[in-house]
Amino acid sequence: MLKGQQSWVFDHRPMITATGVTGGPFEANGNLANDFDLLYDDLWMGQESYEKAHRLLLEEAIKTALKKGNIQKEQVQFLFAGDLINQITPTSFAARTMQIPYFGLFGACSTSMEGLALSSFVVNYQGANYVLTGASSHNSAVEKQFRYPTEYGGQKPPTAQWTITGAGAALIEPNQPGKEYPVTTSATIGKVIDMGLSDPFNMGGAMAPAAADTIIAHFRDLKLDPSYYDLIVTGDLGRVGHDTAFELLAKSGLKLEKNQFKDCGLLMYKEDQPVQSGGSGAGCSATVLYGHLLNELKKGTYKRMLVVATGALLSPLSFQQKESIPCIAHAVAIEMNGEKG
Amino acid sequence: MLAMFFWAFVVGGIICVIGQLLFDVAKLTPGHTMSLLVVIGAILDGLGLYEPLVDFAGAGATIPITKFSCSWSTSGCKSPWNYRRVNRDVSGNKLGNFCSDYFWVYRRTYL
Amino acid sequence: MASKQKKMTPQQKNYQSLQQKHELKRPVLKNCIKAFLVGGLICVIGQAVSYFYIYYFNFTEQNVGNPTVATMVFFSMLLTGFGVYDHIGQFAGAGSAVPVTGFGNSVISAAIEHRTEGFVLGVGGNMFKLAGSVILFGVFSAFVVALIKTLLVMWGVI
Repeated sequence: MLKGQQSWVFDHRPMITATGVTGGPFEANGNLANDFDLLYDDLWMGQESYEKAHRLLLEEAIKTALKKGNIQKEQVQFLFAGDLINQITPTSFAARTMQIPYFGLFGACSTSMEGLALSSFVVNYQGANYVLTGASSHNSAVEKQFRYPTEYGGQKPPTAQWTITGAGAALIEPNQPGKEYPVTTSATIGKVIDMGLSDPFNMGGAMAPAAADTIIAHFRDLKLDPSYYDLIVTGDLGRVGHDTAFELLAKSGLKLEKNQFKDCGLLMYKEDQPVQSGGSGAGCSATVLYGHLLNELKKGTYKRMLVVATGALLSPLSFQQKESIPCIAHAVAIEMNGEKG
Repeated sequence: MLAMFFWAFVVGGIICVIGQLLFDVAKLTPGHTMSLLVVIGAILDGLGLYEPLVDFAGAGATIPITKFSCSWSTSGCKSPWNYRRVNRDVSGNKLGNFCSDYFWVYRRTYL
Repeated sequence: MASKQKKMTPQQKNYQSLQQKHELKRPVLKNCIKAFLVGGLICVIGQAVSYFYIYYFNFTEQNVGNPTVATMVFFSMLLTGFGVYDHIGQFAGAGSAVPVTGFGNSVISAAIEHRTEGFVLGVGGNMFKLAGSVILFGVFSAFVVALIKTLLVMWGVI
């Protein structure tokens, strides 16, 4: 059901019944290593190229989700997924392996919530019995495309972020009363926001206004206030963007607590890992949500959470043509099945 | 010989600091910075200012990217400004020679 | 840049000044010191290589430049291949990028990266992705400078 200007409320509360989370060597040394289902020792993962390894990450995440959900890929109606690589080829090639009817999505690093919102909408209105959604990224493949070759000795400034190597996939089903699974209750789709920043090494600063805009729209449309959620977590704003977004929200009148407002990119890695401002990438919000955050939700650490994945919609060419960086953020609210409004 | 190492270290370091300032203060990309440095190197060599630096600092001036285009521009034409240096004492005081070379170029150009 | 700023709305300008407050500033002085030390060290190594060639291979001070540069590029090839140069680069910034070793690193890293696309289109087509502009501007500026000097000499100006 449409609520307000740009939000949906999922009255039938679609369930996230299973997830699959894969990661690379850097994530294996990170804070959330125990919440990953599969971790690889090196970036090649036994493949001939980084792009093929990227595809493998998503394929394994999907297979893990199917195994944990105890269903076959033939039973799944649709796959909503995407990544950062040109023409989203790793995801498309993974969809070729899976042979599931496929919606390829591009929302940069906000793809995970774009996919979750659309999947929840489809399942909510009985458009499918089973839907898979996911997002992935691979550090070397993304650096090769957007920045410099991986062995290049370029110096990254402190505002830069580290693209995570990982994939997160989730299986969405219609609600079954009494079953203890996380459910999606609402979603807010973001607009493209551009505040004129153009430094590709400071994406957090560029994305913060988009995150703030979507969060404000969510609370406005659903007529809620921030205390409704135990946790509001952004996808990959990093240190710079996170602090900026917190100030933007405070300026707009939304009172958030410091310990209520977190960022997936900051949760992922330890302090001593050289990630400058924090983690980023389409796989960042997907792996942290479908692994760590849902585990915490099931344990009862959080009752209701709002996940706001943020994306920077630039290309290497747009930067060379002196364009600024337009950004977007999509929000999905998740709680446990037992919780009522 | 040791003096040469010291000046190579200092001059090479200074050229790198110029590059670092272009990175951090001017916020140029590595490509822009390197391209700017080679052009500056070519211009300095055209004015006859780079050869004295090479004699003085050795590898401190030949290793940085500024020397890149110098190799081409000096082979492009034999500069009439260079003949002066054949006459000086090559085993003598390097710093003194360096300063006298610059003074000679300055005198030739402006006086 | 000036024309871009004129097109910015007041809202954008306000946001950018807000964002500047939270932006992690680059440690310019620390970076310059690190660049000075590492750049100087690379030049000292180059000087040692030059002396090695002068004493053992009978090169002279005039023509030792070329083998020295070639040897330094060889070292940077080894370091890039072993995956060490990017760590040096993150530490030293311009200290490792400005010397010719940085130029070698940019060519070699691009060649390594694009091996998966084949030797002709991948390695051959992408090898000079980063170094191409340096080569272009270097050659062109050398050409222009030499041309101007030749003309000035011909016309008796200098």
